[in-house]
Amino acid sequence: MKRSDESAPRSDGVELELPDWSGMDESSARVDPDAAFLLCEQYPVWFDEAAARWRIQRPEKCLVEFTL
Amino acid sequence: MSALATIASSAVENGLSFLLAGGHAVIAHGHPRNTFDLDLIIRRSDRIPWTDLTRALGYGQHREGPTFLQFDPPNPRSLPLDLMLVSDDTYAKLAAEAVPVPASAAGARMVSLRHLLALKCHAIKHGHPGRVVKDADDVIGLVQANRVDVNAPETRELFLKHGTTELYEKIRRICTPI
Repeated sequence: MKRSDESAPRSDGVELELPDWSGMDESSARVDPDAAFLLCEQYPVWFDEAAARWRIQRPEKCLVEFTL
Repeated sequence: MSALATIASSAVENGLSFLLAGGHAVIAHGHPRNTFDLDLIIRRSDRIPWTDLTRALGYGQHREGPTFLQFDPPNPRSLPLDLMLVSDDTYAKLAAEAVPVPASAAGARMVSLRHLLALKCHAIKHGHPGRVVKDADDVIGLVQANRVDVNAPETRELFLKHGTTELYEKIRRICTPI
């Protein structure tokens, strides 16, 4: 049984030595909206199986009318 | 031509207006992310002509509700289309503040940042629970990208009118500069 007051056991998994990426710019400031629109239209072409799965699982929209 | 550009030009030809919302509006307001559908706001009174237009463009009806119409795309490699229905009065207020969209969808207009945040707050408050994380991420991304002052009275008023106190307090904590 898990005990919530205990630390997780140390993992013996692969230890990765990753570089420091903290100086990288936020991607959202570097993507032009037109390019982002184009990419969104390309995703169903590149990832057709994922797009088909998403279409089937598409959640129903909000049922409460938006008013101002 | 993109799905959005096709719909925009067909809508103009048929004298129908719409406002871009959803993921595309989030992108255009400075928080680029992927989206797998196209969300448009239309007048409830235009429901029938819009249904006719989408049918003419090859879209098939997916689901229908009192506040929305969802369509499957003409082919599986293009974006599904969701139409959100609002009253004429709300549409007029949204349209009055609407702004142009990026060049690739020339002719279309999209909801203002303020109204996009209101729509997101509304969706978080009333929408499908599975969407909350994505919508909350959009709100945080939009607030940060546009340097919205979360402590300003008008921001608080917007969040409390369309969202919840809990949502406002969380966004305020996350987005207040240290």
